[in-house]
Amino acid sequence: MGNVKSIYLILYNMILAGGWTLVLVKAIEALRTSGPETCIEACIPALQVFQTLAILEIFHSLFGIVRSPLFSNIVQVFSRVFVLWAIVYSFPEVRTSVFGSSLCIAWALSEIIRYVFYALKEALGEAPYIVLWLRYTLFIVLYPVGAGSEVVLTVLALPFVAASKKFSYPMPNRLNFAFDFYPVACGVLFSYLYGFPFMYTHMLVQRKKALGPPKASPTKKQS
Amino acid sequence: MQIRIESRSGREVVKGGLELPDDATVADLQAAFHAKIKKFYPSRQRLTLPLGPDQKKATVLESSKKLSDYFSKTSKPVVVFKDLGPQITWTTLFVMEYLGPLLLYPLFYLFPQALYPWAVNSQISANRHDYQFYALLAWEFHYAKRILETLFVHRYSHDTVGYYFLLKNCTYYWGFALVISYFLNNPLYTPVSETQMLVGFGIFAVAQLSNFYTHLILRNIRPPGSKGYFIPKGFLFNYVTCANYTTEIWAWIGFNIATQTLMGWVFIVGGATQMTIWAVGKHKRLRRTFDGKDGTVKYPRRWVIFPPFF
Repeated sequence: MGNVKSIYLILYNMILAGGWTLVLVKAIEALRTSGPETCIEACIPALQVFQTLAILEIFHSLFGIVRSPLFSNIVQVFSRVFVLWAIVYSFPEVRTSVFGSSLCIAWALSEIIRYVFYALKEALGEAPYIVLWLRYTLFIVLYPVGAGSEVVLTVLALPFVAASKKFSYPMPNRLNFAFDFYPVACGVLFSYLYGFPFMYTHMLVQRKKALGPPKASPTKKQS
Repeated sequence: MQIRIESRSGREVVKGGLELPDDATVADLQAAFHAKIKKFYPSRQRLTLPLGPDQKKATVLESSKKLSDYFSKTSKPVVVFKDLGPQITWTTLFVMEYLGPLLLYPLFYLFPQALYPWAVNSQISANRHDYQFYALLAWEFHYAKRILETLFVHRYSHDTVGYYFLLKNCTYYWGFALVISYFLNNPLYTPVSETQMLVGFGIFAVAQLSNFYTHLILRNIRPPGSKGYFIPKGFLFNYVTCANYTTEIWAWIGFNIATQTLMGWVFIVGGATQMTIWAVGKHKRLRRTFDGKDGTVKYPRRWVIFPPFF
């Protein structure tokens, strides 16, 4: 049983590391050939598959397959799935923004290193120090760039959200319920004020735990 | 008797311990502790015996028992203390959580011009339904009944509850009162047919009266001041362990049939889920307490909360 779990996790993390590498390759290719405005358009199909698969991680955490805190997991996955499907996918108008390219590259880099780290950790019991260091260091830059791009793209989509009435469910109706995407999008934006510092401090604490005070055998190397 | 009070990590909480007469009760110990550390009033203290080697759940000291029931004269008595955090009484908790719905709900009915600023006045007056007035009466009746029951009917098996429950419960009750009222009194509200409304409020009325009766039964099986568990008998309790919840749930089903708002249904699904968790706990506890062994009564076969399903 433990073996099945382990093989599943190694496969899952390897597939996602591969998927995000594909995103990175597509993004760089688009950047070089036709400029940053075409970047996200080129990445969308790959993003739809691999970012959406990350929802599985909430269930991994929920069913105790991995030991990671459920709440921060949900915050992380939700914000990205929201930006991908409810903003970038639903409002093509924002795709030509240059912030689409920073989004793709920041997401891809941080996800590649994260999945490689988890795959190695599961396979070897401990990831090589350089991977561990990258996992808990690159986010310092990548995380604000990624979250910043998410915010900018959402803000850019707001006028189109208001104009299109997409996803809105107006009254009157038999359920006596109304839904309007515009205030929800504003609410999500507002939640970054709380969510971003929460996630960033959470990661800084993790960094301290992972890299912090040298343990008994700091020179331990991979054989 | 010299008693050492320590925290769960083994640190001594009261320097030098507490000196109590040999025939003192646990309540006396709690009072002496409170006298030493003002912050920890008795209901905030959870006092247990230290865990034995193979023990998972610590034995909680009951305040009515004597210390000599737990400790022999020769032993060096140690009591483990856990701070339960600031406590409020159940009465305060219930009155606060029901006061919100009682006062907040009518706002949308009384001040539509201010609270639906996008609607024009003619739209508001043209879309006033008797239904909304009946719904207001039902809602206010329900919460007024609950507050009065809290103050004059209920007897509790525990005195106090953690402070954070206040925040949690008020968010739930006050929040749902606001959204349900918003949609129900909305100028764009769509009412149901008259027959459906009458059926709904009919169920509501019958369920409310039955609910009041179940609360009276629960009061009368618990003599004033007692803390133990009792088998509820009579009326619907002969069929269902938590008939008080059954009638509560049916009252809200009736309200929702009559008013038909999505948020109202979400509210009762959430409430019913929570009540089911409590009911399962109570059902198991009663079955365990009254297992028919050693001459005790055996708990009869009954539904838990929602016949004929559960």
